Amino acid sequence: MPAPDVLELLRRTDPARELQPASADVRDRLRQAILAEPVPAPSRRTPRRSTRLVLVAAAVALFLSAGAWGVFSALDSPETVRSDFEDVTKTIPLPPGATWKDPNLDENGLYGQRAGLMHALYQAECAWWRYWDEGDAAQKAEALAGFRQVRTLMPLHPDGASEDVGGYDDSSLRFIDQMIAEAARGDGTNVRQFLLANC
Amino acid sequence: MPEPQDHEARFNRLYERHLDAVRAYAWRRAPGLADEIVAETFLIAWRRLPDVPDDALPWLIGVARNVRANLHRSDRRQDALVQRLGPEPAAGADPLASVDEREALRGALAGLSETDREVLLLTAWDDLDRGQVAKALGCSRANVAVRLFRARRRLQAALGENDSTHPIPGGVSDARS
Repeated sequence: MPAPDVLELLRRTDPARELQPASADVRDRLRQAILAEPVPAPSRRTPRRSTRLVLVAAAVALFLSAGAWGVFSALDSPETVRSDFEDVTKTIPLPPGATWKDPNLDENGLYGQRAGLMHALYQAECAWWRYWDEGDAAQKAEALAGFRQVRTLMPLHPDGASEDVGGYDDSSLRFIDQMIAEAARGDGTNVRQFLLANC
Repeated sequence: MPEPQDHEARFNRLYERHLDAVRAYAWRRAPGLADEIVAETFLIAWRRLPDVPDDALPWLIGVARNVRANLHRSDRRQDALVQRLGPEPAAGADPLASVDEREALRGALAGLSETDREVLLLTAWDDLDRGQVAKALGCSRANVAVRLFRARRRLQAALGENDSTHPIPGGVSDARS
């Protein structure tokens, strides 16, 4: 019997599964209360890169003092992410035949710092693992060497730091190292599952 | 700058489309604070409407997540997330979600980091795809993919189903952009 999908199991235990939609009266009362609040004058938030450091510090202070108001203040625009992506792909190796794909950004979205690098690393991970999975012994050795190079470029996300900082948390890096060690022993179980689930 | 009526019309569309999803998100994590989280989240959306992207739900969930964190910090009310794994099913209604499975899930969820747990629950409960989860958490899609992959394996292991010869079911269909 196949293992149950844990996502499906979680869905079956969703506490909101039987939550009824808010009544029309409740919806309208809340909406009217919100609409009665004044809207602040618009201001431009998108920083130029040269001033970002100062504004990041200001955003952190704003977040600490005013909570959710500062949530997205330290994030990057799609233009910045795309530019970073193009820069870092010049330094990240890919296996023979692999090419970079557009990071498929939401033009209205805001992205965490180092998002361009993370997009590139993600593509490189998939490309090298696929190359490993499809290859003979020599190609697998080449793929492992390539992946190890990519691994050295993976930044650590400091424990306790904001998600906006980007990078891989320590347990993710340990898991990736475990995959490398397994692949070096010829065990591709986790590599194939990673490819299946993510690439 | 948009006319006030345009601002209000856009907000009304946003509100009608996403109120139930944001309310469900809040209710799942902190039922005692759900009303406050919803009200504050949409108030922020009203005031920052020009910043709200077209794909608004991840943005709203991200705000709700921070509102919830701030409310918890301010009054230290207990986060009931791990305790809230759904009502007991009626007899025969859902035989697969057994008490044992729910207990195992509860323990496994408690063992995950807060962000890993959120990646998993935003996917399973809030039905966000990976790109949306990344936006809601303000991290990269790559980070979401690694966290989701790892969290699913840990949950599977906790359920005693960690047969590594089986691919993770749903892995392909779940690979949304």
